Amino acid sequence: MPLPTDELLQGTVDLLILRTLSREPMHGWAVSHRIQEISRDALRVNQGSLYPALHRLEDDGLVRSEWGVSELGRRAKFYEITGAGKRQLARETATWRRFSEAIQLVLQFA
Amino acid sequence: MRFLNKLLRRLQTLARPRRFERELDEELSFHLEMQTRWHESHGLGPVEARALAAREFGGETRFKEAVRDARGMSWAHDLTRDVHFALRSYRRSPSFTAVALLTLTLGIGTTTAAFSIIDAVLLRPLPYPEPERIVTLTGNDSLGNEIQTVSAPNYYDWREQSRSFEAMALYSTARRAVINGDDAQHVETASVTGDFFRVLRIPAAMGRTLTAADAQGDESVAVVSHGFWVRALGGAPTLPATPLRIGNGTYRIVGVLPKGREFPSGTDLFVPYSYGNPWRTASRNNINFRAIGRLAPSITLTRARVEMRTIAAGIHAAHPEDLYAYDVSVTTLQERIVGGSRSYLALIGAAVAAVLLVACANLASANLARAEVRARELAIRTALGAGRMRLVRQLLVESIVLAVAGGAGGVALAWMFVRLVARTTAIQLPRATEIGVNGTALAFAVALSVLVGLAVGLAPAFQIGRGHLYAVIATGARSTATRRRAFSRDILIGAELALAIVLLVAAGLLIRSFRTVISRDLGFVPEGAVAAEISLPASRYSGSRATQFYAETFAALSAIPGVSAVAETNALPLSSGASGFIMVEGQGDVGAGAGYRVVSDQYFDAMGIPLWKGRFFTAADDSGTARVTLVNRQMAERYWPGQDPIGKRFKAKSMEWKDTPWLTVVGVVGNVRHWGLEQDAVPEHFVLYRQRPEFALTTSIVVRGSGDLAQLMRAVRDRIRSIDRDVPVDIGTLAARVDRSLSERRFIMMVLAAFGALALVMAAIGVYGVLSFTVAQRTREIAVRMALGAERRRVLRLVVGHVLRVTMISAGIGLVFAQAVTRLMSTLLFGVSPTDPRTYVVVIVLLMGVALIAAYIPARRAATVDPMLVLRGE
Repeated sequence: MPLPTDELLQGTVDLLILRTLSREPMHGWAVSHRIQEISRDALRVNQGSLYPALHRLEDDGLVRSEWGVSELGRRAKFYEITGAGKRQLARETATWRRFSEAIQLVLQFA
Repeated sequence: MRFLNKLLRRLQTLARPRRFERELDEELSFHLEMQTRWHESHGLGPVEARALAAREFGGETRFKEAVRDARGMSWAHDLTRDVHFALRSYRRSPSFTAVALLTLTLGIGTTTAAFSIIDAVLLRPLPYPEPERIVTLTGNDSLGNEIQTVSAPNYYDWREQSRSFEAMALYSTARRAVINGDDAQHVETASVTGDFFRVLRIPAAMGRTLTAADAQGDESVAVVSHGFWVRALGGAPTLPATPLRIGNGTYRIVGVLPKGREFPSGTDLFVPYSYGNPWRTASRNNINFRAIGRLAPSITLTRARVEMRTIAAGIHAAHPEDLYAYDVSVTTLQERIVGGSRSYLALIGAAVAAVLLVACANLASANLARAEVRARELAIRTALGAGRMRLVRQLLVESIVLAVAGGAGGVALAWMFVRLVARTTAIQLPRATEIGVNGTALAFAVALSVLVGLAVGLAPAFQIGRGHLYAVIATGARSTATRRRAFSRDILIGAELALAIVLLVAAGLLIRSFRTVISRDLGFVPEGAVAAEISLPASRYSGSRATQFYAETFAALSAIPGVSAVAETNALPLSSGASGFIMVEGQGDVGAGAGYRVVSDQYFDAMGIPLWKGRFFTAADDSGTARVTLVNRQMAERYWPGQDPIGKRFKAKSMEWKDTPWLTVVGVVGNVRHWGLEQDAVPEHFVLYRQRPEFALTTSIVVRGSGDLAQLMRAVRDRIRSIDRDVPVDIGTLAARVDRSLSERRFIMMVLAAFGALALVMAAIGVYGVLSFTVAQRTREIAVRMALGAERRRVLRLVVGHVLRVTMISAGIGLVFAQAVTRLMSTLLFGVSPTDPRTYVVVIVLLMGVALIAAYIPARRAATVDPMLVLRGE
């Protein structure tokens, strides 16, 4: 049963996208597909969250985009993480780890 | 930096909205296709795969909107819609729009024009490199008066002893005859020392400027202004090969200055002094030069002043005969050039700001009334779910759209005004050639428009959502907050009236000053006389040759039918004139004593100056006979009070180059206000040109005659030209000369009067508009009152009385402000106190009258309401 990402915090979607793009530049569909695959279908970022998030990240200068040719031989928009994006990813990852550890502790021992 | 990048990215997106939409569509359709392929690869048929992908895709419009939001696109989208809506709503009320646009155009136009002028004249640095380092050096006499011209020996001492200056230069200006082809004309010429262009650092636009080497060279060279190059030389792309005949010599033109950079302004020709050290050994009292300097890098004005003061003290101790440089003043060139225009430009700036405020108040009150009419529309839109912020934004956008449209009109108007002012001869603004509506002025106009839009739109925007929605919708336009709104409208109207009072009082005081000035006695009769300025080439008119020229000229001009007197003078009243130190027999040196004029026999008849005592000059007074002089009454009273001045003797020290002979007073003539109607007559003495031929080269010839002056001027010009066609003649009537001397005062008065009238009209429109609206709003109330027995007169009194109360209160406030403001303009007033009661009374009566007329029309409409018709109509 996949978790709907609509209910995730906005920052979490951004984090997932940045992490996914940190390996290589890819287009929007590939980002959502990769998240779904890696999370073994647990996380599904639908288009309604994905594209606004991608555009917001680009607007903030954390990713940049370029039109390229996709595996289908068709024009597609590829997103690539920027230096600022990488720094943001590092910060957000650390925050997320501390947050989830804290939750873990509470769930275990409270 | 990050913010800036973001802004840039946004602007890139906003600049191409179509492309953005197209790319977004393409991105999403690509996603859909990938998803379809993916489903196909997992075994679905093409049709099912596509359907499933589309279903997963969900509401496309909604998330497209989210993407647009992320890019700041939706903001731009809404703005476009708001602007469209604003335009539509203005089209629906054309008369409101027309009045509002006109008001804004006038307000922003005058303000932008005034800003352009003040910026160009007062604020912008002079167009020379590091202009703040350029200074003028002037002397101070024993009485502390500043003497703007200096003597050459003093200048050379300053230059050699000072360490504060990078360069120092001496120059003097003169109108000289230039013969260009067949045409002889007067040209303003500056003779300069070698460092003149090093001080100013003006680069040549073509060729080169003058250097120290030019003064020693055998060949005479000249540099011309851009204006002269275009006007007289046809703007040729190369320097002319043929030399120019200037005065007594020929000069090769070696350079052209950049446009509008010449100093002193209006100078067309620059030539080096024909000898290396001009007047180096002349008397220290021969003050015919002006000095400028460029401060050395790191030297402050104060330091230069301290140094120069010490040097001046040393010179004075060594040369006690030096009369004009007890001290030295160091002033920045900018201050020297524009200082005199500061007070009236500041006044015009303040007046323009007041006009703009009146315009804003007018618009704000009109907008308030309009918002009230639209209360129902706004209430319905609120009921349909429009947020308060959304409506506030809508209203603000509406007024900014209006203000920007008005601003565009204002810029066009400002452009016209500025051209007019830069070209007018009514006022001699310094740096007039630099005035124009430039980028700074445009930015100013845009910022001003937006600011005005916000200010004007804010008032109604604040009132949104204050009233009760249901009440508004249920009862039509009669909202519950009427009383408070009526109060804010009264405040705005009151502010308009008060500002109008301040402007009208300022204008009134200037008008009274003007009338006082023109009612003063000039001391001569300008009507029926013409004056021709001429200059004789020095090379051909040395010594008695000039005297001979005048004898011929006087004979030729006297022969013109109707001419009663012909004379010449070296200094016509209202133009220029020298004054100097005198030493009265038996009294010793009396300091800066008297103006001296060199005139011919019939001068007093030609000018209409009366003889009070003694005699005029006669043919018997000649170069060989005893030196005689006439003095004016002022001089007689100053130096020989209670005595008979006839037969008294004095020496005019600075008039003489070599020895100073005794001058014997033979007559006393009436006082002339030589320096203008606003000035008091100064002591003056007159000598005969035959006894002082050195002063007879650049003179004015005065001809008094009867009949048509235009014809007389033509005849005078023709006859002088037939004696020597190389003599340039500038001719005009004496009356025009008097008129010109009043032009600056008249100009300022007219500008203020125009602004006062404008403010008054706007205030009247404001009163009329608000009252018309109130009456329309209260028709029902009035009808009820009348149905219950109120008389028409009472209704009239109700409406008019309200306006009267508002007017009285604002008159009180306006008068308090006016007193404060007019004190600041005391230098511009003449013969009238800043608190002149007559002006104040006239202004208040005028304002009351106008307010009453503006109020009467809507009040009458209220009084003629037919109660039955109105009440049934409900």
